[in-house]
Amino acid sequence: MKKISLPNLILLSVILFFLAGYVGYPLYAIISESIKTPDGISFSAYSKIFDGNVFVALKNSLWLSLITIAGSLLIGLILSATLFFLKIPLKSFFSTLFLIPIATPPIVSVTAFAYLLGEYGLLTGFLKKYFAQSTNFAIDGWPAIILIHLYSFYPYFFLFISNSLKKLDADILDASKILGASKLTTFAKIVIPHISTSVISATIIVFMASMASFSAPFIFGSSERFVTTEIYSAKVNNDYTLAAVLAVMLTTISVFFLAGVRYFDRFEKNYASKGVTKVYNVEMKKRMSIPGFIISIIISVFVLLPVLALAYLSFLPEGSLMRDVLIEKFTFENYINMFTQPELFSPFRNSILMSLVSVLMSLFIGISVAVLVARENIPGKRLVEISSTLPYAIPATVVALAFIISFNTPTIFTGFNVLVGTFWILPLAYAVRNIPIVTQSAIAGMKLINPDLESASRSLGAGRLRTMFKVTAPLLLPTIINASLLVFIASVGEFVATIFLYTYETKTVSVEIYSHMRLYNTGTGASYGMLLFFIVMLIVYISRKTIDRSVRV
Amino acid sequence: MPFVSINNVSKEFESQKVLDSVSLEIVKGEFFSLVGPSGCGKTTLLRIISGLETPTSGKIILDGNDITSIPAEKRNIGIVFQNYALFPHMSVFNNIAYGLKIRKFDKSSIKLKVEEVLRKVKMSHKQYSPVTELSGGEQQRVSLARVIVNEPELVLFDEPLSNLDYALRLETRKEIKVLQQNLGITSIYVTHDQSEALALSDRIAVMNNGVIMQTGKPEEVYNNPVNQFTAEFIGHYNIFSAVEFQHIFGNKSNVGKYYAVLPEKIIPVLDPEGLCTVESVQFNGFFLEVQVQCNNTRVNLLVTQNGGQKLSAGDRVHLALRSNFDFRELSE
Ligand SMILES: Nc1ncnc2c1ncn2[C@@H]1O[C@H](COP(=O)(O)OP(=O)(O)OP(=O)(O)O)[C@@H](O)[C@H]1O
Ligand SMILES: [Mg+2]
Repeated sequence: MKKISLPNLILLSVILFFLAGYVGYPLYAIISESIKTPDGISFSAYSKIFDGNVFVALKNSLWLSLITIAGSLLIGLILSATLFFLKIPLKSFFSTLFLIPIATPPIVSVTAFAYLLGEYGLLTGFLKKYFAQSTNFAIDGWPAIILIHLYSFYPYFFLFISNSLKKLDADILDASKILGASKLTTFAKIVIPHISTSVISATIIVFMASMASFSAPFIFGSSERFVTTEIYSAKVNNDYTLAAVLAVMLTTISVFFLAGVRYFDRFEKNYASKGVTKVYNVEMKKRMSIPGFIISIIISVFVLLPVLALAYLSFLPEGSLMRDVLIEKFTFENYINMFTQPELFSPFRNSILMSLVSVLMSLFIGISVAVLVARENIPGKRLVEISSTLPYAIPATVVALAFIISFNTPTIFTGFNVLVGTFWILPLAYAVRNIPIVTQSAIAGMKLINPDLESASRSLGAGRLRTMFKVTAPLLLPTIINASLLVFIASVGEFVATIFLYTYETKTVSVEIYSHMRLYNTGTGASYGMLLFFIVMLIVYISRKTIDRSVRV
Repeated sequence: MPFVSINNVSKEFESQKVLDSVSLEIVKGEFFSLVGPSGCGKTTLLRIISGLETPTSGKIILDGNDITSIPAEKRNIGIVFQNYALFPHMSVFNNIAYGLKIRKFDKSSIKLKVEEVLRKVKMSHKQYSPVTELSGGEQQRVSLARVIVNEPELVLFDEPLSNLDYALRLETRKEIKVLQQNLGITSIYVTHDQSEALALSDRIAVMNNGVIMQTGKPEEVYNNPVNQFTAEFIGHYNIFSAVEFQHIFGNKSNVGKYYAVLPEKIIPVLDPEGLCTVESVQFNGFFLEVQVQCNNTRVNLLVTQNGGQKLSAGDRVHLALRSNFDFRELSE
């Protein structure tokens, strides 16, 4: 039996209580909901998977994910290779720009696309007016969902492949050339195998995210069935058994692939070669590549157009998409209303407060887990680590559904309160989803800190606490700040769990954007969208600065 | 006729001149070394010879053909890289077979060739290991095998031993030399370790700031440096101005502007009236490394242990040349 000190024991108990209450119990509740029938326990509800509608939804979700993966992989690969191997101007500008969609909250992207290419979209109207009156350019259904998925998910491939390419040793490319290989051979035999593990990791992540995607199918897929939207309709129809069955199915698939990610991450480690020579550039051509530049411009336009549409509409009077946008006058009215009208300001206040609460909660749990797991030898270490990573594989729809099923009655975990309908259920749901981010980055941060530093401090006479605050915490600080910012970004624009859990008093910005968009209130919808977009981009900027700083130290 | 000639090669990176009219000629089968301090342009010159970089001006002639504009993959010149540059996702066998596969050899002759070269570098037992599991010395042998299996016309070595520890470095450099002699491969070997260059080479070129300072046989360059840089870099010569030299050694020659004397050619003689003071004495196994200060000139000496008197810090000495001809006059 391993020994454990009293402070660690208390910390461990708190963590276990939280994880049991907000991860374990909701999962248990949803599983039991799916097998509960009036005449006892039975798996009969699972036969619905092979029912017409559910089966179609599953098939559609899988197809959507496969198409998303193929398309995003292609875009990501082309872009990362272009920026890495070709000589084009504005490289660092492009590489930042290409990542914008990854940080943009899905509800903002979806709304922006609706305003750009929807029934009354700016581009739709423009094309109709100047090119062909009779044709309808508006996109909806599959093409719209796929387009938005490509927009949201290609950056994962771009990011993973670019990072992997940066680790490619330039001498290895030279060695291949010297041994007689053409550029194509080098690409096929050296570059592709080098990036393969990161491609696999990105594929798994995109697959999970795409299966769990809700906003795009929800808004553009009115006539199509997908697993996530079916969960929502089952819940709305009060068919909790069906909703639970779908949720269990979706989560099972997701957990299975999460295990895959972890396996490949481990694989990656033995792989990097140790380069020692300085790398000047690996640009294969000396002259500027025109096609590479054109591709970069096209993707930049693709990335920026929806945001520009949003920005444009946010400065026009309410509902101008229904009229002729070109004759409308510019105005700041939408932005002013947002901050002066109480019913428009309260969603903003809610979103900020909820995000802050969720940051605090996930930080507390995540850092505690990291401290216990990385430094202490406690019993049940694996269990703590696994259960704090697990939420990563639970789609937001499932977390929300599980919370509704679990917390519509008093439980010991909620201090015998009913959480459904309260303010607290939202930040709790966000926090649970984000605990893995904090835990993983804090563990990684702890591993970077040389334990000898702590020993050195202890040997110089500093006590445990003093060492913690004077040595460990300052070194860990950049990691923690960064993780908090990520959690804030993910929470402030969260739409999926929110749409399940909000009430009129606890409306958030994302829900507000959604309802205004549905009402064609383009002014309010767009200005809220821009506000979210700016908050998120500002935070990304700050977090990049912290990373830069911490690297320099 | 030279096998490789490098004609007036210059290279600029964004207006920084890295190579300045470098000309060298290398004979077939020769082991030629390029020595110089870090950043002097050695790697750049190798990359230009191999075709990985194009010179700003100048020509590379190989076996009578101007190859300056032939791309690297068509040259059949091998490089052994400092960090080995093995393909991490391939086994030892596949690394070595890489070039042969590109040249479309059939399976059975690839196998034969790889096995033969593995025997030459004494790595047969690791044929199927992943290269990531090899030690540094083993990786360097595989890297060498990967080059020589293609029977290149010329092999370029870019500080191949600098990542190995001292003992392994000595051992591996002997093996490289033996292999090079047996196969008769023309080699250009880059290092910033002058002792390595002196030990291995048929001829060496000393380089500084992109300029060739001196070329010649190792003993020539060591014994007759023609400028301060070579004298200090290759032999750790002490450099004196004409005035200092006369003052310390009382020698009347006044042809040169500077005088260079090897540390082992100076004898310290205990002398209470002497001009110089012993600053430090260090024992390094075979020699005593002695530093003395003569007025404001610091002089380094290497004294054999049984060289007579016992010296210690603070002793006053005067210095003498081992023989009257043990100095070199330098014009620059
Ligand atoms: N591709 C490049 N772009 C810009 N500058 C370069 C490039 N390659 C080399 N340099 C510069 O040229 C100079 C010579 O570099 P080089 O690598 O040839 O030196 P070296 O003699 O091999 O040094 P070392 O012993 O450290 O390997 C250095 O100042 C380096 O910074
Ligand atoms: Mg070099």
